[in-house]
Formats: sequence, C-alpha cells, structure tokens
Amino acid sequence: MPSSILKKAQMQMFETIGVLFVFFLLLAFGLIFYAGFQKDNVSNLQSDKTELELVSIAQTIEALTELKCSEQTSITENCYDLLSIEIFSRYMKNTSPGLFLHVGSPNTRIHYLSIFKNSNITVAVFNESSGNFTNYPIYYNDERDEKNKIGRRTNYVPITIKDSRNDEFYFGILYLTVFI
Amino acid sequence: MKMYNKKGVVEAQFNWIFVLVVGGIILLFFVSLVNSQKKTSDLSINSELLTHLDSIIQGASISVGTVYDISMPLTQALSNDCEGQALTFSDSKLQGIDIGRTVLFGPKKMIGTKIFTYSLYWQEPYTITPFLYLTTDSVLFFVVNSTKLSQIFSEIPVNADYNAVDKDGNVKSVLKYGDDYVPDLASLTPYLNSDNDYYTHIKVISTEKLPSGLFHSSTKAKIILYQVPDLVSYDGYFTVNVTEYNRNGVIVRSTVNVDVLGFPSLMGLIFSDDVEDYRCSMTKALTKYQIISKLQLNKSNELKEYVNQNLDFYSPLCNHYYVSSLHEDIIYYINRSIGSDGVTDLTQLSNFQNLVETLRNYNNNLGDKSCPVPY
Repeated sequence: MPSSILKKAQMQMFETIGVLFVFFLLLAFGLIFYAGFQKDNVSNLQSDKTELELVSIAQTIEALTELKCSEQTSITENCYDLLSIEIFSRYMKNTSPGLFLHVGSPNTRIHYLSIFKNSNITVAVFNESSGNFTNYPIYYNDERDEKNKIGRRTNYVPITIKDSRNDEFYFGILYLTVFI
Repeated sequence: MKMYNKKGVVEAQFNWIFVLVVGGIILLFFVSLVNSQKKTSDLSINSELLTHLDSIIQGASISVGTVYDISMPLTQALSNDCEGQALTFSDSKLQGIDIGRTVLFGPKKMIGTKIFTYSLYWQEPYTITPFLYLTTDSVLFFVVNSTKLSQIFSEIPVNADYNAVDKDGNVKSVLKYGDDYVPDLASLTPYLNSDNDYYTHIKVISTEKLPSGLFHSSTKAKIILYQVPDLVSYDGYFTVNVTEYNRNGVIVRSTVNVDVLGFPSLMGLIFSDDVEDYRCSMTKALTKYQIISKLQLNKSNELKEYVNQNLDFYSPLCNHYYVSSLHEDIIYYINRSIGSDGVTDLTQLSNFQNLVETLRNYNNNLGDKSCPVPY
C-alpha cells in the first residue's frame, strides 16, 4: 500500500510538469512566429528608409545653391546652371587642384561626403544637335565598397538646365543612386 | 496511518509552493516582455517622428519665406545640439537627425505644442546657403517700437490666428504681440511680470536698453534683450548688444557685442539660444561661404575666358567686371575668421561689407552691359 500511494504522488507531479512543458512549447512556437513577422517588418522598414534617403538626397540637391540658376542673386527654382555643373563636376574629380586653388582639398570632399554619403549623383544634359546625353558626375563616393552592399535604388528627376554663358536652356536628368 | 497523513500533507503543501513559484516565474516573464515591447515601441515612434522631422526640415530649408508649423507632444522635448551636430529627442538613445551641414538657428531645448520653421537665403552677394530658423510656441518675441524695426517685425514667423496654449489648456498669449507693436518698453511690464511658467524664452528686440527695475516676476523664462542699432536697412555689417536678464531684471550675463552680416544673420542671432550657438551656426555658414566663393571665383574666370573668345558678341568692357581678386579677398577673410584653432572670429565679418558691395555693383554692371552674369 505505501508504494502505490508513492507512485500516485509521482504521477500527479508529472502531470503538472507535463502541462507546463506543453505551455512553454506553445509559447516558444508563438515567439518564433512573432520573430519571423518582426523580421519582415524590419526589412520593410529598411526599404522605406532607403526610399526616404533617396528623397532626402533629392531635397538636399534642390537646396544646393552652388548648382542653381541665379539671375542677379534671385534663385530660379527647379533650374540648374550648366557652367556651375561643369565646374562642380571637375571640382569633385579633383583633376586640376592648382587651377581650382585647392578646391578639391580633403576638407571640401569631407563636406560633401557627409551630405551625400553612400550615393552616386550624375547630371545628364541632352544635346539637341547630337541627340545624345552628356554625363557630368556630381558626386561619386570612392570609398564605398560594392561587395558589402545588398543592392541599389535609383531615382530619375527631370530638370531644366540653363547655360549662363549664352542663356540657352537644355533638358536634363538627375540620376540619384543610393546603395543599400 | 499517521505516516500516510504526514506524507499527504507534505505533498499538498509542496504542490502549492510549486504552483506559486512557477506562476510567479511566468508572470515575471510576461511583465518583462511587455516592458521591453513598450520600450521598443517608444523607440520606434521616436525614430519615425525623427525621420519625418528630417524630411520636414529638409523641405522647410528649401521653402524660403514660408512658415511651417509642426505639432509636437508636450511630453517630448527636442534638443538642438550645434556642437554635436544633431537634432534629437531629449533623453533618447536614438542618434538623431544629422544637422552638421544645415545652418540652423533655434533654442537648445524645444518644448511646446508646436514648432515653427522659417528660412531665408543668406546672400553676400551671391546665394550661399539657406538659414533655417526653428522656434516653438514657448518662445515669446517682443519687437519694441516696430515702426523703426518693421523689417524684423514682419519676418518673425507667426500664424496670425494662433494663440499659445499652456499645458492646462489655457490660452496665454500670441507668439508675437498680435499685430500691434509695443509702443515702449514700459508696456512690456505686464508680460514680464506674469507668473506663468509656460514660456522658456522671452526675447525682446529693441533699439534701446532695458531700464533697471523694470520687472519683478516669477517667470522661469530666459529673458534676453537684443539691442540693435537704429538703421534704415539691416542688410550690411553691424553689431548687436545681447544681454541676458533673470526674472528680477538683474543682468545674468554681461552684455556681449555680437557681429552680424546681413538680415538673415541678425535673425539667426535672435533665434539662437545664446551667442555661442549663434557662433557655432555661423561657423557652418562661413564654411559653406568658403566653398561657394571658390566656385564663384572659378565661374568668374571661366566667364571671362568665354567673353574673350566671343568679343564680336560681347562688349570688351565686360572684362573689367570679372575681378578674381575680390573673391580671393573674401576667401582670405573667411580663412582668417574660421581659423585653424576651431574658434571662429566673427569680428572679421566687418571686412566683408565693402567687398560684397563691390561684387554686387560689378554684377549689376555686367547685367546692364548684357554680359554673362556669374550670379
């Protein structure tokens, strides 16, 4: 009789432990599904963030007074000056530092690196006589490593370009690429 | 039999202890889970708010002359750290918005139900960068005798129908003293003597000093007087005396004479939390000025070369107005101002006025003679 009572007590405890085990098992399944759902959420957020970064860079370029058309200090919106683009493009390539009075100095490049970060920016100007586009790289991040990037997002913005030398207007496209 | 009873009692008690312990552990687990989810949710909301704020601020800096208002929760304070180059929520672990290249003037800590943004282009004489001004409804501006200071009075951002509301929902005052100007400093007394603690800053812009003993109040606001010179136009170089008072009208910080170049720069001083913040933002502006000046120098040289190649089309007098030495002088004085030791010397701004005026006149002359204009 004592041994059977002992066995019943042990069964009783095992039942409780069994219930708890199943409960924690269900909880673990729930957490795994939740983690999977959160992972999708995070990748969507990452994608949204990249899109916002594209918009942010487009807005930053819009605010760059060094490329905008101006007439007697009055800024013309949505218009870019061709001569400024050419000078800026050469400036960022740093081909002739002497000519540009150390314009391509390290501090200046760091200034634009902090603004444009992980992106490439090019302005393409349409030449009606030849029917071709001429590309002017505005910003190219030499230090980026493509191998570490998952992908890229590109945005195309049509712009008006004015040559301040002869007051002629051209059609242009602003290519913005952000690397993820 | 007694032995069996004892064993049964032990088993029953042990069961209850076991249940309590396990129940407590489960409860603790769920409580910690809820807490961590709440913290994550708060961080996520702050992050989303900051992302939207970043877009709004980018847009606001481009929309020159337009006032935007952004609703903010009263429990959240926005910190503007010029030295740290970040705009973030106070007590937040988030990195914040990078404002390293944005020339922004605003209070160090912004608390209130609304944030107002406004921007103006800084042009000396060519457009350098937009100056972005931030303020909240907890900052009160008084422009004293605005008949003389009408340019300042009209440019301070305000929604004419807007009334500041404190945390109890009571309407206190307008952001700017209505559409009427304060006729003299004595009329300020009721406002400076008010007991409300809604305002963090009370900024008085006047051509005169504040008389001593003007006010005795319990306001916790920072009271700052900007004594501007009585000028016809604030577009050139001038100095402003900045004095900070406590609620009893006692000077807390002795008067500082601050150098200003142009009306946007004056607005920057008025919107900044203190003179050091203004100096920090002007350093960013001068760095941009340096870059733009170098580009303009090259542009001027290129245009001169282009005109020389097309002299059958342009007047030879055009060459007289493409003067690279003026740009080089501006670059020289900017370098002297920024310096290599990290301390900006704003007194160098006095050297720019003549150079800027000359460049402006030359540009106008180029336009008059149908020559290509650099800006």
